[in-house]
Amino acid sequence: MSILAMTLFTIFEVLLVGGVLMIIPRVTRRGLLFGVYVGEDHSCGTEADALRRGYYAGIASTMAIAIVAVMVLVGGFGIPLAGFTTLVVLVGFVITYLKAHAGALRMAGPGGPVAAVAPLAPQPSRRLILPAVALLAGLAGGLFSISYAWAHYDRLPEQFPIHFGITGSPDAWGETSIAAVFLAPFATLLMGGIVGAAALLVANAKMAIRRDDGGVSLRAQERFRTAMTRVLSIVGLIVTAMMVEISITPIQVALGETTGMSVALMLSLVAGLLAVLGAMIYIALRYGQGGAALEVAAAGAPLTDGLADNRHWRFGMLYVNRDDPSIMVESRFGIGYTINLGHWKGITLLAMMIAVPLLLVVIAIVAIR
Amino acid sequence: MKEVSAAPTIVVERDSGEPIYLQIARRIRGFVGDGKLRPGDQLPTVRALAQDLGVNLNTVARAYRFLEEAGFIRIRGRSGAAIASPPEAPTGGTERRLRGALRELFIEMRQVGFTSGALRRLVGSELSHFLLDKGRAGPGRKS
Repeated sequence: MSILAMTLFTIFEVLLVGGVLMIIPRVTRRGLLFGVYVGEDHSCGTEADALRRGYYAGIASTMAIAIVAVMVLVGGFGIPLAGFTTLVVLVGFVITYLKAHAGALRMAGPGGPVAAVAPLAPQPSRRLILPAVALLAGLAGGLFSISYAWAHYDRLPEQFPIHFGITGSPDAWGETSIAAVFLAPFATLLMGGIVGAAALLVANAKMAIRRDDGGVSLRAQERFRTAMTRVLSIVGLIVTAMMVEISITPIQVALGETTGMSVALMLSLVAGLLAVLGAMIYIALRYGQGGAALEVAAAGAPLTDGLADNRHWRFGMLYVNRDDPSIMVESRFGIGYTINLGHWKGITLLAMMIAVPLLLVVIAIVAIR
Repeated sequence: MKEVSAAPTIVVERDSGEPIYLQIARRIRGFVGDGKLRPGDQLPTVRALAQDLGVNLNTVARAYRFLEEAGFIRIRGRSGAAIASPPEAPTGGTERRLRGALRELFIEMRQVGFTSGALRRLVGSELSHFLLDKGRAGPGRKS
């Protein structure tokens, strides 16, 4: 990759991550401010506006610093910084967010027990079909990949392709081993399963609606939850397709059955993932977090339960409520849903989401050595 | 099946002092009373309602059991609960229990100062309103 392309790509990365962080306060539900429930009126007042301005300035400064660093280090010295710049922007975000969060906490009242509201009708089961298909496809794709590797393992030569270049041909080879051959198939099973399970959990996520609003916030939230479920399900299907290709092709290359990955297929899958990213941004702008943009008519009605209860939130982002049987709840700051860390199933899910990628990285290092 | 967004919403006040399972039961009973929930209407599963209200599963299960014992709902295993059709006529035991409860209420009303005339007027007026509301909501039993 040329230095110019590398510089432009890294700047694009900074603008994308920073842009998403700039969107969040604009799409947050009325009543919430930087992860704190301050009340519907306070969240639109001058004090809240001042906090938002401070946040935007903080994120903009961070982006400016990151872009200057990219131009000097990548453009001037050719040092590859892709990924690292995201880390820089995220560090700046954490500092800026915590400052705004502390300001919002000062605005919040003493807090205490709040009302909870729920619709008295069962959820339609049709909304579970697509996420269930994504989960089953993830599990089936993973099991197929493992079976394929198992069936061909004895016939594999001593050298096995462990990395592929941008053209789809292998550019690094290692010794054939169980770790090298089975890493991608197991990753397929776990990643497909986790994304599919996440889609299914979001389809069943807790409803946090406003009180006495004639069902406006409930309808808004249902539409938001359905859209998020669809996007996650499609992500699950695309990830599974990509991972099956990544699992099977090295075996076929090692056996001399093919020369490399299908570039057209991989490009179309990457295009699909970019389309999904675009869809997430569209959902944020069209629906707002939790359907905030669709519930304007009811935005003066008070929020209830988990979203309105400051006692169950840490730093405005971590939900910890042992009495709540929900696994997934709506985020207070961000786009989408978060895990209830007071529920053992939520903790298990989070542990898996951290441990599985770490384990795969360790296995990959062992396989390459 | 009733659309979720068209369904009545249940409100639980955490600081009201009344046990949450009783609040849930009372609200559902109220919706049945004023015709917002009709015989055959499905209720959310115990898990879904507990999740949306942010309360323990046992709290909702207890409310549902309480309503089932009182004849308001019927529970059908994992498929959830539905509003029950009232029987053609109350059984002897139920009638005796309700007659006793009504009598207790009359005694209390007398004790707090209702005269016989005021008591008769209040009961008559409330009964008329109740029957009128039920009439507007339609028949109380699904064929």
